[in-house]
Amino acid sequence: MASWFRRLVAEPLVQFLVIGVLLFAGYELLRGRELAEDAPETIVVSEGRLAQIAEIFTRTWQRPPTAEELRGMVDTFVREEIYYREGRKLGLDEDDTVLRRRIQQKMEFVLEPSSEELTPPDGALEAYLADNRESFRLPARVAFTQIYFDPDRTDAETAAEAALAALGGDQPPSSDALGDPTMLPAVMPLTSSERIAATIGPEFAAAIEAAPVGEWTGPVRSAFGWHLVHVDEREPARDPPLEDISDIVRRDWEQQRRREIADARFAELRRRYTVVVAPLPDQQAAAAPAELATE
Amino acid sequence: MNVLRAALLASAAVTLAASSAALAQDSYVSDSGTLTPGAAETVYPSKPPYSPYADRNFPTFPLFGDTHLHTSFSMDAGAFGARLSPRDAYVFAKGNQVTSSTGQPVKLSRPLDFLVVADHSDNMGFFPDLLAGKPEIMADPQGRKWHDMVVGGDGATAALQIISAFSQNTFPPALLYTPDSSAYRSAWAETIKAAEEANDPGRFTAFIGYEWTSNTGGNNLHRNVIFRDGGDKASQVVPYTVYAPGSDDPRDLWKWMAAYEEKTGGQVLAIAHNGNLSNGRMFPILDPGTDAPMDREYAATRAHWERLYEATQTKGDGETHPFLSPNDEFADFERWDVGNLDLSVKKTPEMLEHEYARSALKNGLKLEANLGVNPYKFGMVGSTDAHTGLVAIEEDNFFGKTVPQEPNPERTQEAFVRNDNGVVFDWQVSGSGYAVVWARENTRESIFDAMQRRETYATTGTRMIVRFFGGFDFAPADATSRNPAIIGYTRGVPMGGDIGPAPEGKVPTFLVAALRDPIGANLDRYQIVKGWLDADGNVHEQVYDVAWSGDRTPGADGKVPAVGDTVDVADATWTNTIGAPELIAVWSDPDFDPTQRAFYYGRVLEIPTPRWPAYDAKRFGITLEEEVTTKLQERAYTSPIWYTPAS
Repeated sequence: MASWFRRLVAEPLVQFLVIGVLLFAGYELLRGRELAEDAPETIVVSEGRLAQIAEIFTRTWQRPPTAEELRGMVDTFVREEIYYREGRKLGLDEDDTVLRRRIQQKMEFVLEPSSEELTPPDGALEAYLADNRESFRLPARVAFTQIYFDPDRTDAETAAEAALAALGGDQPPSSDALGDPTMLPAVMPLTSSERIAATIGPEFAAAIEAAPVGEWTGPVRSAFGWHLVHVDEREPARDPPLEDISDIVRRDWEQQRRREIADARFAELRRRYTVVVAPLPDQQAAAAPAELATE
Repeated sequence: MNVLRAALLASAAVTLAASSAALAQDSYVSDSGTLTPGAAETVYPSKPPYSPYADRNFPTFPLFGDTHLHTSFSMDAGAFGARLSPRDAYVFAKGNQVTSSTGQPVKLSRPLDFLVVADHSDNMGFFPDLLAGKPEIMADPQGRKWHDMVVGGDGATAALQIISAFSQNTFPPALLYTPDSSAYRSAWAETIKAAEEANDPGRFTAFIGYEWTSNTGGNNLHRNVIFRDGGDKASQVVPYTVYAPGSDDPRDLWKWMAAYEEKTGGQVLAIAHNGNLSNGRMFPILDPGTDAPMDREYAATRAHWERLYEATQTKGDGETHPFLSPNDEFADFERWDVGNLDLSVKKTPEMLEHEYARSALKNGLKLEANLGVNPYKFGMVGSTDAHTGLVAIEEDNFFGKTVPQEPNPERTQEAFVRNDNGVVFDWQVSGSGYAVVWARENTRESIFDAMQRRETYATTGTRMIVRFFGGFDFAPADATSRNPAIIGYTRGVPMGGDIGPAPEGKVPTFLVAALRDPIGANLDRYQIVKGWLDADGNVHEQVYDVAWSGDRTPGADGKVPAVGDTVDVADATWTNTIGAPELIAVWSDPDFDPTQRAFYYGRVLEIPTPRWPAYDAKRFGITLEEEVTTKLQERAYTSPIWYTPAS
């Protein structure tokens, strides 16, 4: 070692200086640690956050917040943030069903496919339609006129039969003049059996399914009484071509694709986990916990 | 890095604490709803079913819907396990079969005509919207890489990498949330999108809407807000909340509504519900907050924005209460009167007057005489308030108010809410109701306008068709006419309208008609409920039987005796051997005083039918407790017609 250095180190002033520095440094360190323990955590309300808060206000009230209003909202936000942080430190976010379900919901949102992934490749819609013809089939439809006979006013079935005979006679009366008033529709345009059932009832809808076109038939029973029915037109069930229903087919296809993608993504997540389930109550105690095979 | 972490945590905190919704984004993933073609084909007559020589500028068929449904987007629904989104709710409402949140297949007996998905505005929140393709994402190399992976078909890997990056704090700062960024999309934007996709003018109407859930102290002051408009206007605003910058005061909600209309030129209305859980706050007579006499401005503002009231739903019926209407033998119906919404405060009798529709209509007459405007001049609708995403409240197809109440053997035994103040059981939840609108066509504009003119009625869950016309010139022969609606519209006003002052020597006459639900029960009777204000400033009510089935005659007390009961509770069936499928009559007020303000509304009752617990008992083979109600007489309440004397 250089002799000048040895002389330096031996010099008491230097030793005192070094001890002093060490003392100060040590003190700073300790004090720093204390400060760190008492030092407040920082909550930063960034420009982006301020802008967001102001934007929410503006979109609620259709005007920007005043300085005081903004300060108030910032205070609310900070209060919420503090409770949130402290709550997390206490573990309040654990084992909370509401939070867990909310997070599951957010994850499902996150994993939802984007519009690009939901664009059907060429031919996909045609194939989907071909595979699902029944869902897109337009049901048979019937257009008809009906005359109602009210069982409360008369022997409705007999009256209906008499009216039918009159309609088939030489000088048939106008159908408007026959039967009893009702709020039921006198005329329905081409309508599916399901919808006729929803309006006049299932027995009526079933009864006219086989009625011939262009003549009066009956009496037909319904929940309301008796009817004569004149089927004006029938349209058989048909499978519409893709160009007529492309929007609907596309939505259905997207729905299925979305489900497939969501299931596939969950399966990928699932692969990262090994699940161990304790024996279910109805299993014998002898069995060790089973390791579930990953799907 | 700490700043970054803080910002991330802060934004997560904002989300988790369910703060009010943020910006709508102008471009987002275009998910879409489903519409099966079976429902797509025109199913309702395009021609009105009346005489071809009649003018057809009035509504000829009623539209059945729900103005109050919650989906998984509502925090409380999601917390209970609701998994169905607004999109799923529309699919179901259109008549398609879906799988419920508890995995059960479910389908309506018939499609609905319209639906408002009204999730709680306080829960709208944010969800990360990864890769919406915005410029700033493409500019960032990592963002671009992820975007290309998605486009190239490897979206799953991209999504998982993104999640990892978030959780490990390696998410590119450029992609972080700012108000203009696409990193988050709001549930409000999703709600709008689902409604826009499901809306099918002429066939099915999907309204944009939300619920403002003022519930301070557990006292229910909730309102549903419904937009006449589409997403172009609705997305310019965010819903009004109770959390800041919102409030729990309806007067502030009305200010929000005014600001919306002023900014966008659109239209909104609000429908309150569950006065029975407001502990006396729903229909005040004094100014809320100060207890000074109500001022004209409050009355006028309320009358302007709240032209309908939801008088029946799953949390009990709100028409009237036996304490308020001791002479009405049908007043004790689906009664929830233990306390407020969370049972933190018990009910006291003084509260009741300010909680029920009939009483509010009466007090409205009183306030009108004092203030010159009637704050409680509302029409009636029903709806469900279901939190399952399913409008499934038919008694034989009841899927509960919350997901734990979806069909299961225990659901008739649990408590809905229970504490020291009392208990409300799950079996008390009602299978109710529908909003029925006489609109000229099935479009947003037409239905909304019908709601504004109050041409609506409520049912407790069945599809009765009800007409109610008032005027001074109806004659008994009109009841046998083939076209009562034409007569009704040309010689009077429909439900929701006004008549008066009475011409010299004339009294109000009403042309009423009801048709039973084609797959439901016969009708028992059609009643008219009259309320009036006498010269001393006191209000009164009287229920009149106007049309009824069979050959019953009124007894000494003036009331028509009960229709009978064919319900077999054990088998959960009934027979339509009593009652009538159709009722029609003309009635004139026998107790009319032309100097007194009055209202009249129609109430139609069906014959008794099984209530949903009876179906549970049969299907699950369980035995119900003694006190469980197993039958009911379903009913409809029309909007009133108001009589105003000469001033």
